Amino acid sequence: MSDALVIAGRDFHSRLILGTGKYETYDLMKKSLEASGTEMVTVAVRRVPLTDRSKESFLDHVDLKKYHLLPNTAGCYSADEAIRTAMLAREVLDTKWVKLEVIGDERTLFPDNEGLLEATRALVKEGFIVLPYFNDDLIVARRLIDAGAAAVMPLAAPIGSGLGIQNFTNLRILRECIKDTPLIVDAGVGTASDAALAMEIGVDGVLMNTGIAGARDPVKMAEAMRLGVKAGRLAFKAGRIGKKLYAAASSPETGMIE
Amino acid sequence: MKIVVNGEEREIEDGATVSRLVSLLDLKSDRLAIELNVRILRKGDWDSTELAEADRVEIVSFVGGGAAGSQRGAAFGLELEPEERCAGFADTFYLLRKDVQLRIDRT
Repeated sequence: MSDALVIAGRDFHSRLILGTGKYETYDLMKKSLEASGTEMVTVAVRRVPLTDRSKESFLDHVDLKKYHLLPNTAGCYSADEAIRTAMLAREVLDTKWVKLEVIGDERTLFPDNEGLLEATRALVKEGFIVLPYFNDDLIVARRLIDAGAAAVMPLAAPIGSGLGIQNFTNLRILRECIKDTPLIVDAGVGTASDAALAMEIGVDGVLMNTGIAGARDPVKMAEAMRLGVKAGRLAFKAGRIGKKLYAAASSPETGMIE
Repeated sequence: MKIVVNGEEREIEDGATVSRLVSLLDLKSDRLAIELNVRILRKGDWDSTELAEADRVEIVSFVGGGAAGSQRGAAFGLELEPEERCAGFADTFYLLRKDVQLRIDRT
């Protein structure tokens, strides 16, 4: 039975989206992507190095037939910068997809929701498929969806912090209230149980980078994350039991020997 | 003539086109995006677009990046004049706000 994640009409069979930054080597990145089972990876737009020609091209190391690229606007601190970056990304490989970040604060990397909304509106108008990174605010989520976002991606904790799901209740509320737009946890996941917990809430997917790239063994952690996402998804679909304060026997209470 | 490519001043022959610059730099043209004076140039226009003295060119591509912001201003060349326009194609223009430049000056 298919349980695809559908974003803007495109099916993904993995609910894990991976960043491609912070890996020590391209080889480690490739193996980690492979082990994670992901089908969509984020990339950043940067100046091409003109003097150091020894640098290998990043795109030589990503199988574009296997992975759908999701360019990001990381490092952008205003709607204008983000729009400019998204437009350049579209030109690099003719893609309309963008993981939209408009950062509002350097220390926390929390999003600037006002700039985010402005950029979302402009880019949707330009025909982009926009996946905005925002904080877990239902009202902002609704506005982003009204502006045409293809998915909404709340953080679970600050980017790269590895703190795990710090906003369980807010994510639950988001899930209860947002039924028709993919909801993807973006940032904060530190280990496999965090990914599983996010998926148990019923979010549609998880996006992570540092949790894998920063692990002692990224390839193993990538596999753990794949399994965590899968376990959480299955548990969500299965429907967990209700919580009770007291014991409920699980062996038959009749037919006891006397 | 002198032009500025990715923030570095370079010498190039008069009348050189954008395509000529790309080939001089030995870059793979299918994986780049180019801005000329903060306007994105479509690949189809590289051949016919001649560079002029003091032109500012940004050549970008994809690098590894994740669920992460980076340092302020890290995105790429942000030596924009306050009144410059950040251009899309055709009819879409976005005015870069003055505070972008001011903020970059401060950091």
